[in-house]
Amino acid sequence: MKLKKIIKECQLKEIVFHQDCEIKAGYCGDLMSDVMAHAESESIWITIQAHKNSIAVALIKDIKAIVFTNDITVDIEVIEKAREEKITLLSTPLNSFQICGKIYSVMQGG
Amino acid sequence: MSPGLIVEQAERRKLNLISITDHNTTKHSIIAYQLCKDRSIKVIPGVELTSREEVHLLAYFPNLETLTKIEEVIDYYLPRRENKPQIFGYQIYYNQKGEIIGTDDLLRQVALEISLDHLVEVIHQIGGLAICAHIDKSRFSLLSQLGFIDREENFDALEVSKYQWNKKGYQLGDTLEGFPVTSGSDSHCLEDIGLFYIEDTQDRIKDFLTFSNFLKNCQGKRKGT
Repeated sequence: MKLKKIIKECQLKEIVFHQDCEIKAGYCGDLMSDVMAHAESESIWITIQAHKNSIAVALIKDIKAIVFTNDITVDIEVIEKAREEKITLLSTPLNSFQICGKIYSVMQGG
Repeated sequence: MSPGLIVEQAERRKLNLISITDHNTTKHSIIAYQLCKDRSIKVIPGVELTSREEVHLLAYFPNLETLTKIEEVIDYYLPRRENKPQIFGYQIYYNQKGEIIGTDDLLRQVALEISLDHLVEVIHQIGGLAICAHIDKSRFSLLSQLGFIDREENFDALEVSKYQWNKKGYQLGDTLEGFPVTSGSDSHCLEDIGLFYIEDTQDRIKDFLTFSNFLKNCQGKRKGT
């Protein structure tokens, strides 16, 4: 599934958009230790953890895009770091449960 | 645990310098500080804050004036949720004499609505020290919540649990990822007080100022030379 399609269908706001790419999996979690252990590569990650370290975790795990939920405020340092590391940052007013459901169903072709 | 009993127990166990760091409240730390004004045991005013990321952060301050400022910060960022005593226990307030003067109905065991980095900044602006609490623990720690230690962060030190301190054989002045390492007893009952402590054989750390200088010196060693 193309990232652009997910963004469009789920009405995600683009904070930083790097480039369109193939998204093969998804993960949802707020504990970095958990995400580092379980997230798959070429994936989209849903979280409320809008911290600089999230970008580093995405980089290590080859996560292509992060979706911050509940319209959480994203600090400028986080945005700059994402630009630098070429990670796409997205945002939604929905909570993690709701947006996971939407993204999942889009990715399943539903 | 009333502040009075804590101080007495700490004296019995021959401690020289302690800090009371309750979750998102400073009232008992203030009382302990006042109680020790004319005693040989010293108290560093402090508090344990929870950031938006649910990272526990210890904040230490030079005096009551600065501690009061952090209480204002807590008031501003603490979500207004009622405590449920059957789940979280009663949040009891004592006075200097050890009498119960009331309960706090606002739930303190929740995250403040401010990011860790901003919280560190605010603590520094007020003149305090910001130390990540029990980083080796699997809950509410820098490592559990944020995965790893970023050497560019502005923490004044990293605290490890007493178990980790003993296991790794840390000594006063040691660093971890460039940050000074501290530890504490994390006493949650009177019996725990004094079972774990750090001995400063060279008698360098006596109060907030000497503690602060000691930590800065440890960091400086890494950054400078």
